[in-house]
Amino acid sequence: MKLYCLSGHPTLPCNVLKFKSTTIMLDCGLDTTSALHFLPLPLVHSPRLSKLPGWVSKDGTINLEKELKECAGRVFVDSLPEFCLPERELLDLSTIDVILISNYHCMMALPYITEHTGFTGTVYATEPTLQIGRLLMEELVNFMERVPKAQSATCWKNKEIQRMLPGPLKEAVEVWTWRKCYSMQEVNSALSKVQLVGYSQKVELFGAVQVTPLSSGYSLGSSNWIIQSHHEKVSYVSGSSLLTTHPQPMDQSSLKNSDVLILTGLTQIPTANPDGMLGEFCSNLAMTIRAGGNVLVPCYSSGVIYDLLECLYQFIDSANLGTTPFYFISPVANSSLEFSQIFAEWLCQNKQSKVYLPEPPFPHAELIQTNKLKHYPSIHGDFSNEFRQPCVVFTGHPSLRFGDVVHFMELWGRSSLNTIIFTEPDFSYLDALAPYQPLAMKCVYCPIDTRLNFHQVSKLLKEVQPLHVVCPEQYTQPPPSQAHRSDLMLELQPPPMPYRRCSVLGLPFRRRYERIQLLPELAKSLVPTEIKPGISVATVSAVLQSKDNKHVLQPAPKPAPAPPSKKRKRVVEEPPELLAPKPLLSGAVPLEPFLATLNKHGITEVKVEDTADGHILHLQAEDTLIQLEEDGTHIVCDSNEPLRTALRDLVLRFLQKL
Amino acid sequence: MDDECAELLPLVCALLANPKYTLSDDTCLEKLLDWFTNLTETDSSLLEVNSCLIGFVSNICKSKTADPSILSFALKLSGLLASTEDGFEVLQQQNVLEHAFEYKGWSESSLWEDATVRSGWIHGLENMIKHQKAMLFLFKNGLTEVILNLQTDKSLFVASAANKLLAHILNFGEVIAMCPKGNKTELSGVHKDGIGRECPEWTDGTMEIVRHLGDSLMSGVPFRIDQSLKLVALSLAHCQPHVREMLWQKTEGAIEVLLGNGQSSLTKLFMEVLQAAARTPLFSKTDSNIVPLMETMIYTLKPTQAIPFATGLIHLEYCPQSLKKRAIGVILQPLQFVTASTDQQRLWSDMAEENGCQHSALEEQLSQKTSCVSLLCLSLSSTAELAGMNSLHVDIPVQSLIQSVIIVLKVCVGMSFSSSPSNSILRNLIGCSRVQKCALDTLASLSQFQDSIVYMNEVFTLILQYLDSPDSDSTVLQKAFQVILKWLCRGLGALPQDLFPVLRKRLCDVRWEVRDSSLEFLTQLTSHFQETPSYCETLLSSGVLELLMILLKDPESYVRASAILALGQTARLPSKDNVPRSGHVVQEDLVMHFMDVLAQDAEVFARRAVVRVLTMWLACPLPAGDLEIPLSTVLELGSEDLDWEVKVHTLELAQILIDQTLAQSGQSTCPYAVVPAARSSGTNLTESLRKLQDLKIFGVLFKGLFDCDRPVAQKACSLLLSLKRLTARNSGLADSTVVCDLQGQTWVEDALKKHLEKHVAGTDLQKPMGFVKVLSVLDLENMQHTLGQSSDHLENSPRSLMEDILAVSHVSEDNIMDCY
Repeated sequence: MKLYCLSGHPTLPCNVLKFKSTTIMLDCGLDTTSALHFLPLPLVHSPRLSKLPGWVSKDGTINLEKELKECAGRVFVDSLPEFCLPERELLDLSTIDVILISNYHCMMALPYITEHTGFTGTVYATEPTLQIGRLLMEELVNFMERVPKAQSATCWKNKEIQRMLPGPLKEAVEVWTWRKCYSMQEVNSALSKVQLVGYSQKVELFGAVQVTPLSSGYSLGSSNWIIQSHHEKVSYVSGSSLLTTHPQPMDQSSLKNSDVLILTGLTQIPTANPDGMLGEFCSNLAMTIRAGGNVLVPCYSSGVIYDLLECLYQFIDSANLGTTPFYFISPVANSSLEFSQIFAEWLCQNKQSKVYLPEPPFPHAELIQTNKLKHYPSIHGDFSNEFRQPCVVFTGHPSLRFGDVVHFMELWGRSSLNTIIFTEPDFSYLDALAPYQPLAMKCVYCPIDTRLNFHQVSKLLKEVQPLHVVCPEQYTQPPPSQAHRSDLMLELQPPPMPYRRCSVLGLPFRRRYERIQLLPELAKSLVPTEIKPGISVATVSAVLQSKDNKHVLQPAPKPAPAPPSKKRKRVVEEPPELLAPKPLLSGAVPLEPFLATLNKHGITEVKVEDTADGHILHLQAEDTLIQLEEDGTHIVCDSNEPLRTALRDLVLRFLQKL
Repeated sequence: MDDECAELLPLVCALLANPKYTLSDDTCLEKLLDWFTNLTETDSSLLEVNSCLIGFVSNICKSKTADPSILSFALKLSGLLASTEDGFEVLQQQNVLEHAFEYKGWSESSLWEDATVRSGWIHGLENMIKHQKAMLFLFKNGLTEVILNLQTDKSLFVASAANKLLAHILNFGEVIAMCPKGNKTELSGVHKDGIGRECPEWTDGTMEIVRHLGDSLMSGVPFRIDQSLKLVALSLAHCQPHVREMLWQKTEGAIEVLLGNGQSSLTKLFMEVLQAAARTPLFSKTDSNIVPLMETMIYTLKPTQAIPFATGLIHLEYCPQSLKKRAIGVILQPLQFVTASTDQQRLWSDMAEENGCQHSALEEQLSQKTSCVSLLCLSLSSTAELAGMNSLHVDIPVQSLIQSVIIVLKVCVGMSFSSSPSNSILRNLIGCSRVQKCALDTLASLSQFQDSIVYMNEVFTLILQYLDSPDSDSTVLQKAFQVILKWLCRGLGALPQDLFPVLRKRLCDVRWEVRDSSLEFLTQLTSHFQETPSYCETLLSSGVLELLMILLKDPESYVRASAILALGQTARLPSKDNVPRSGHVVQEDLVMHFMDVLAQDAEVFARRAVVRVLTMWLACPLPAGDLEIPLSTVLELGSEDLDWEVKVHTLELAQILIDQTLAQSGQSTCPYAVVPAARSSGTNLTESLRKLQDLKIFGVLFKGLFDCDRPVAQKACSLLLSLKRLTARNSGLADSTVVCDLQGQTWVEDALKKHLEKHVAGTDLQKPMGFVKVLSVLDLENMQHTLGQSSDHLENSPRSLMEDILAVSHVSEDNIMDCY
């Protein structure tokens, strides 16, 4: 059993598990942090961005004026943003049988894997994961396609040139593998390979293994996966949460008794408690609005935003913000808000029960109804007519490199009354803000990451007790910025097996057993003998048939009747010759009674020698040795076959036969 | 005892003696005894007046057939009756005492098996032994032995009562000295050994007790040792010096032996005994073994027990320096241990280490989360207590201590100084709000030391970090505010720059508790620094005031109330003209807001706050003229409020108004005020009263006088009384000019009508009556007396109690049915 690690990002995993002749890909996350090296894509012409100076090396030898621009002391690539894909050289992607998706954030690289690679397998995901994943991909494609860029920068990727560039571009890794965003057509084709599954539904893969999604409590339809055969169990835990937010709570008990547990997707901000951050978010929001400023919240169009809106729903009245407009701008804003309301069965109990009242499970429906929350596909069109300040705007993309958020950064960045509140933990806010410097607007970092923290995960692991844990290497040491926080790492016994990008791990357990079926007629013919109270055994003579990873014992075919005529000899498949099976022996030969028996049969001169395993009996007159050992008896008797047979029979008297 | 009670008492006695009736509620008997105890203390003639009592106790004690609870009551009562020598004589003559207390009679009775009876017997004896005759009775009848046996009775109540009685006997000399003078006793002036000389039986008796105690301590029977140690702790402080010597001699050796045996279950009792001994002259004796014993104790105790013990030691008056140092070491040890786990240089000398508990035991406790937290909290709160004791600062390394507390607080928020990653002690503290709260308390109390100035900046930086942290618990934030306040109020540091931005954020917090404590902090800070121009400027330009205005509409009423109080404090700060007031808080608007709250707010806290703020403004007017408060509206709204506190606050406001108005005419409602005679003229007073009348204050007072809430009525009554006294002093008052508007005050009218019918026949009630006249007619003094009594004074009277008891005899079947 092997694990191929195609991504080193702990929360955007992409691993391939080879298990019992199946090749299973676990998630395919897309690392979009590479976009931070690119200039933002403004929706309307930005004089500031277009006037940025091009980059020329100090000695003037390298001139990349067209490709690289300098802003506030940093260099950015002036091209459509590109993303860092999972590793594609480590194994042949066409050999992948299935892809298991755990949540909509972890499937964004799917088109890169399923398209143009020869992939012919199936993708398994829950319905909300598929639908919301589709929205996120659609949004990404839309953000890119609506601001087309004529040129595409590639020269800077030249190894020799990249070496000369200033940081952090110089340190960017694997830049040659970075790819442009996929097209809508590729998205559709990739998603057409998805087969929907429900929680706890058992899916057979080629009869060899069974995969089951379990609720993971992180987002709508998010799941952990159990991959098991009859005797082995591998759990894949990715992006789970124990907090009470909108999704169904995490199913922990089904993870018990795993041989291996692959652990990914822990919180990215282990020091920030989501509740505290939510409070921080609200108080900063209120403070800005009260001082007459606007609030910009760069966020994904699905996920934490539902909880943010719910929290604001309660907070708006208590903070006297009833008259402040809240805008949600995204190409998929409408679908996202509406989808969240229809997946009732995937919600927590509290929200599910609302559906029967009937009420919308999320209170943002009421915010929309009362006109407190308005949503628009983009800043163009209706929005410009309705726009009123001071206001709160939720919009993407959290990297601040594309999407409507770029426009608001240009619009509000110069006033210190305004505030940008970062709630998504995926991007470093300082890097995200770099191309907007100098910036007067206030900036607040309230990352809300509801995924498991180290305290919760160590409690969980204590509970489910897997034999081995595999995790990204980042989890086996404290975060680099807080090297003293030994509480922010996994400490387990035995220690977890760490992986990094391009690791291939041999998983530390051997398959020992295989399940075999007996056909009823064969079972009927067995004659069990009780060897211990409650334990009976029987010998079986049968033919083993293996097909589709299933093994069946069938009764041995009867010997074919003698051919009717010797003349008509045909070449037929000879059935295997059936010999009567020799009986199986069990038990031990007790020394004293055996000596007595020998004596009775006229063998009197016996010299007994004790060995580590038993005894050696030297029959001096016969010049014969009998070695009595724990797991075998040998009679060494040269050229006296009758004596050997006689001795053998005497030994057999003391043993049980099956 | 009044006549009514004296009439009822024989009936009660008869009923109690009648076995036909059983009391369902035996607390009646306890209450009855309490009443008798009170009577005995004030009125020694109880027996003479109530001969029925003697009959009752004699009857019950002789027959020994009554219900155990009645019997117990009778025993206690006979003890009480015999507590005076006269009473004793009377009871002895009638053989009551013999029947009640002699053990011979009891030993044969099955009733003795009942713990209630045994307990009554002991309490009766304890009640009785107030004089030497009683004591002699006890010894002559050999009761000591019985009591010593009861010391280990199977009923814990009896055993504990017996122990108390034994202590009472040992402390006899002291008891007499403390007896009220009403007890005629020849011994009231006894000094040292006086009793012993006059009463050899007592000496023998105490010897017997002490001997028994010594035997018990060495007996190895846990309960006997327990009881004896308790007895020692009870007696040491108050017994005669020679008894104390004997007691200690027996105890000292026993404790040494028991300590050596590692009797950990007795630790608490050892501590009690040692602490009791340390409060006696034994402690200062040169050959005393107490200090070494205490030192041994400190070493053997678990850290969680050692710290409270050490704190107790430090409070001792004559604690030797070495012991005190050791005790401080024990208290500081966990704190020092935690600090030492960080890589900081050694913060203090090895005092804590060499003086504290065993290192390994401490480390083990600190490595587990729960015990670590509780131990550290104990150490921190005891340290705060130490800091509060002025004489101690010489013994505490204050600078190291502050630094340690700072380190603990830093560790709690995840900053650390340790290079060893697996330091579990520090890990236990991360995010622990209990430790944070204790440490903040300690830090606040350490502000009083001169040496603390050095750390001012570090403390402010740290506390601001706490205030800014999204993970800080609301109670932690409240403590953090208190630390800033304490340190700032020491007057040494400047206001930290970042305080107001953080405060603004906290005023917008999601949790109402945080908004509330931020407002309280702002109020306290402003009231302390309102005279400081730089503070006022910073505050006024900080934008906090606009937030306060918004918080006036907060959904949580506590927050609204705190915002009102904060605005009351901040809105009147003087601002220089060149300083732009960021909050456009127009003060007239504010008054309007307040009036709206008073009239409309559904929650009481906000309305109370408004009246309090207005009262404050009225009491301390600004030198540069003040706001125009629509006083008559405030008085009207306040006096008609549904909440009694609002009404009381309104009356307080009225009081200030009255005082200020009268002061203008040179008058004062305060009877002790020095009134310049020349200025006190009736004309001026009439003017003032008329002004008050214009404000309709009299109506408010009369309305309050008969308010259904007693505090309101009391306040109104006392105000009217002071006015009555004032008007009585000024005979030349032109009464008729100040007319009292009694519209709607029907009860006043009723009272007046009654008065007029009685005294001034033919007066027309319809005619408006002068205020002074009304005051003179009303019997305010009597009213004040009535209001002064608690509302249940009738139910608690002995008469009502006896009626309750007698009611038992009237319970008919119907009544019982009715109860269902």
